Amino acid sequence: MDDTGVTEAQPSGIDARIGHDGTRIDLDGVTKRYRIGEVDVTALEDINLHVDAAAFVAIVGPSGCGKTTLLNMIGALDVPTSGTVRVGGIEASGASPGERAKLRRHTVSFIFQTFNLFPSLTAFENVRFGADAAQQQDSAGRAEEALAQVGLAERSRHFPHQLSGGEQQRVAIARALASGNPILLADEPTGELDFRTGVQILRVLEEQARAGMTVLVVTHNREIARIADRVISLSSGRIVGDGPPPGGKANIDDLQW
Amino acid sequence: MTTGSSLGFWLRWSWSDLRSRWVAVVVIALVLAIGTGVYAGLGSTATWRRLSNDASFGQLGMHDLRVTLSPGTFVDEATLLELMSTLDGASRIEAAAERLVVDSQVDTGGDTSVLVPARLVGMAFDERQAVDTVWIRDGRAPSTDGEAVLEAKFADDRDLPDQGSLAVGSGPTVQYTGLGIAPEDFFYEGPEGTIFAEGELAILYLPLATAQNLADRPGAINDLVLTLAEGADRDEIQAQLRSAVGVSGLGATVSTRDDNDAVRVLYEDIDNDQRFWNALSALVLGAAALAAFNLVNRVVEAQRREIGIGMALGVPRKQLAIRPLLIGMQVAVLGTLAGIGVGLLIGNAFGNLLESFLPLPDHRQPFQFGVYAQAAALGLLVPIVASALPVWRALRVEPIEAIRTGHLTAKSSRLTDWTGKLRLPGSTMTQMPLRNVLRNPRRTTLTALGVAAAITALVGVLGMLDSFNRTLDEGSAEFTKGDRDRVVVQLDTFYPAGSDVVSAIADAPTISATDTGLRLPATALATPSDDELDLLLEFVDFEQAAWTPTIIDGPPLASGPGVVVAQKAADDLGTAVGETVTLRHPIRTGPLSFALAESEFTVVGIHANPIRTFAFLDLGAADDFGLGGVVNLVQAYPSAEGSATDVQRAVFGLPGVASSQPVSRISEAIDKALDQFLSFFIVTALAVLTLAVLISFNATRITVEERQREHATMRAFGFPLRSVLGVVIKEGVVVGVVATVLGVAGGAFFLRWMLSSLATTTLPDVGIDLYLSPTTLAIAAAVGIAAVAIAPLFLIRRLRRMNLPDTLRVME
Repeated sequence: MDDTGVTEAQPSGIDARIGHDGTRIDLDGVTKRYRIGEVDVTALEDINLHVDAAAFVAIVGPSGCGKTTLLNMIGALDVPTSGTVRVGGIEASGASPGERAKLRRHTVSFIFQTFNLFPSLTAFENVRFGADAAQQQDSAGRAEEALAQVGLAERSRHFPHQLSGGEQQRVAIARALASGNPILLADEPTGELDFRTGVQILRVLEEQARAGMTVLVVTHNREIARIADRVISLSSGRIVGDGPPPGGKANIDDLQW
Repeated sequence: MTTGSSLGFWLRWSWSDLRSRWVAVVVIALVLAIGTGVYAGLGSTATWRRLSNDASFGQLGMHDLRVTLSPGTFVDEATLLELMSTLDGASRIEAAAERLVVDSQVDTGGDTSVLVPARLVGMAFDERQAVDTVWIRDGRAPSTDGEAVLEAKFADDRDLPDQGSLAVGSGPTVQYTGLGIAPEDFFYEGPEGTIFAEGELAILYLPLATAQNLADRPGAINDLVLTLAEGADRDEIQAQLRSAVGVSGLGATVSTRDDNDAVRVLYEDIDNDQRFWNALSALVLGAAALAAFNLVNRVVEAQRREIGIGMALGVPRKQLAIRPLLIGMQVAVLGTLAGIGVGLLIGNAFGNLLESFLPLPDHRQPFQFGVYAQAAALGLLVPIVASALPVWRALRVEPIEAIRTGHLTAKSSRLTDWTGKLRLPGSTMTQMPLRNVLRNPRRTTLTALGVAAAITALVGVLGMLDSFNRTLDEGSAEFTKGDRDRVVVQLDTFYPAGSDVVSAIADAPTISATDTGLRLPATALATPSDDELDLLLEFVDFEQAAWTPTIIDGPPLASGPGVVVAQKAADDLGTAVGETVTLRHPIRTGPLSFALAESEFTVVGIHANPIRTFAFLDLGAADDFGLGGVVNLVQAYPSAEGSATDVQRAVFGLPGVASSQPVSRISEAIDKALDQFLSFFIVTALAVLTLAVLISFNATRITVEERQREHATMRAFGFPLRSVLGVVIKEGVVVGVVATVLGVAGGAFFLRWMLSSLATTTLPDVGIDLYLSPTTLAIAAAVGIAAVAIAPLFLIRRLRRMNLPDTLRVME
């Protein structure tokens, strides 16, 4: 455990499917349009994106550029107006709601900006929920392991309202890890947090990527994106940049914002 | 911004709130409307009944005073009118009429033949009869000699047509040309003081001459009814009449309007009944108020963050309070307006029932402004208070606290902290419903209480029916004891047990066996209070008779002294088995002369009949009453091939037979009367049922709204819709079980209070035990659990169409 209280990643046990060929993400010609009142809004325009397994990718761009929409397409929460989305070998864009639910259950896990923890469940139970959702054996054991992994074993009996924002986000990460799903989708995971706590969270995410998970982090903060292996820049629904972080991959300890 | 434009701004915003929450607002308004409507609708009946009674008694000229000659005494026509004219107060008498009133029997003949005691009332059917006139409800008044009008309640009870013919005694047939009723007969109490006796006495209103012919009393009358001028001293004229009757040497009683059973019951019952309806409507209104409070509270609480933002932006707190308060006012106005409508509907339904239940010629049901104003005031107050409280709470907090994300999350409470230490079995999805319920005990309790209050009202109404029904069933069972063909033959006076009269009954065709007995009125004196209870003493051969009372407390029946009373009588008299009771009873001093005596009797048993009036002694005890060896009652049993009707037919017209009645008639009459009572309760029960379902539905709807982010999270993690629904339904079941248990307990408590306080005045002669039938419990469970659990199914479309990405990003 380091000085932030976060335990080093322990790849064994909870991520049995990491490295599986099915963790690849492919988006071809994806367009998403909404109609708000009388106005057509194009959230995404002809997106072609391919992410290999075990990659650590940051998606950056200003508010309203389509970052979250893109993440929702990959996470099968939303479907494109046109184009195809394949996640883990499954075409999510043409799947039925049930098939997409199955995909979410066994392939991807979410970390939300607003945590979305269940207020009536303790930290331990919230994490166990992730394991239960993915129908993992020994969900209690996996939950304990995941909580320990994010340094919150001592806080397992606490309810969300008894935890700080950073602790709540770590519980959310543990919930995603306990699912054992190979793809982790994080939407502005540090958006609600102060710098110090945000760094703790990024460290946990980086450790998961290092351990073999495919991690996609959406952020509007280009400084945070520097720790990813690959940075995809979006603007007005289009990919305007795709490559390693400008200036090279940074060490988390060097980040400042 | 000017004050006017500012108000317009808040009103527009509030209008927008209303449109986005119209289902919740309408449902809460409906809940409130049912509460205020039941209150307003039921609250009007007392005034309606009083007005209708006044108008009906007035229209038919109900007598102020009545002179009734002693049984067997008759005088020539005009004798009593002349006697009346000699009074000092004669000028204060407005109208008077002589009548001939005699007892008889009638047989309707035909396939639906019924043989019952009858009363022939000979009177005028023109302007000469201005007192106790007959309201012709169906058909027409008699136009020629030999025609009659049949009392309407009897005809209704016996399903007789509007016109027909009846055999009177063993004599001629009388054509009745219509159905009608005189004011003194608006209510008929049976000879044993029992209720449900409408079908047990056929009253025939006939032209005086027809009655005289039928009674074989040409030119005779025995009754005088009169009304007094306004302001006349009734007591003074009553005293003068008594004196004049006494001087003339006639045996007679002079009674007042207030001595009449119909007047007594119709007016006395109004206040007793209204107390019952008031208690019930208060309960329904309380349930609705609690539910409306809870629901408005939750709707307004959802705006707390926006209030916090407003405070953060420096908007004055008073202005911030306008918008949520307007929600309360919208609910209040809608609920009150709808409540008036519901009140009118319920009032109308009750009005119709009253018209069918009370055979009055003039039913008056004017709009009761005062009652509606009370209901409207309550309807306006409840939602405004309900919205004011959360607004007050929201405005008390610091802005930063109000705008904090997660403000809806349960704050730390001992229960919440304690539940965190619990490790519940099953997956997290299995645990979530219970966890959610425990998460906010205050909210859960309020929701459960709202549903529970509605169930309390429902159980109270249905339980009253159950208890009433069961009590009467017990009474019926005790009367019949498996032999519905037993016929009680009442003799017109006392006869030696071996007399020709009794032998003729025993020897009548189709009668296989008889038991003789006695029936005497008596008064029981309660100790230590001075209360008096009317009893009907029945002397039965405890060891030989085929029918004897069932003993539920005390040793088996045996010959000897002592009295067997009903449990209700023992309770009211403050006595028990082995203790004594004082009876004031007639004692025969000569062949047809009696004196009153007070004697102490040991209570040797409690019988199973819940009706307080009935008390039994062994026939051997008749000696103590000077009645050894004589009887006035015969229990007749038909032969194997005969029926009760055959027995009645066989004794019809026999000398000395006053009436004959199969015991099965009692239970039939009870069933019929229950159907009428049932109608009153069904109206209320339906309103309460709707209330409970609406409360359940809206509580669930708001829960689903509050939990939408949690539901979206579950679905984001791949749980199908049915799993999410399962959590909501299970949570509903947990709340529903709590609400049902509370509601049934509350209903039983309410019922116990009703039975111990109200029923003792409304039905003093009946001992009603609290009973909740399995059907009532099943309905309570169906409403409390099933309705709450099923409510989410109506929200499937909403859950299915939920925009997951948007919902997951909502900041509450």
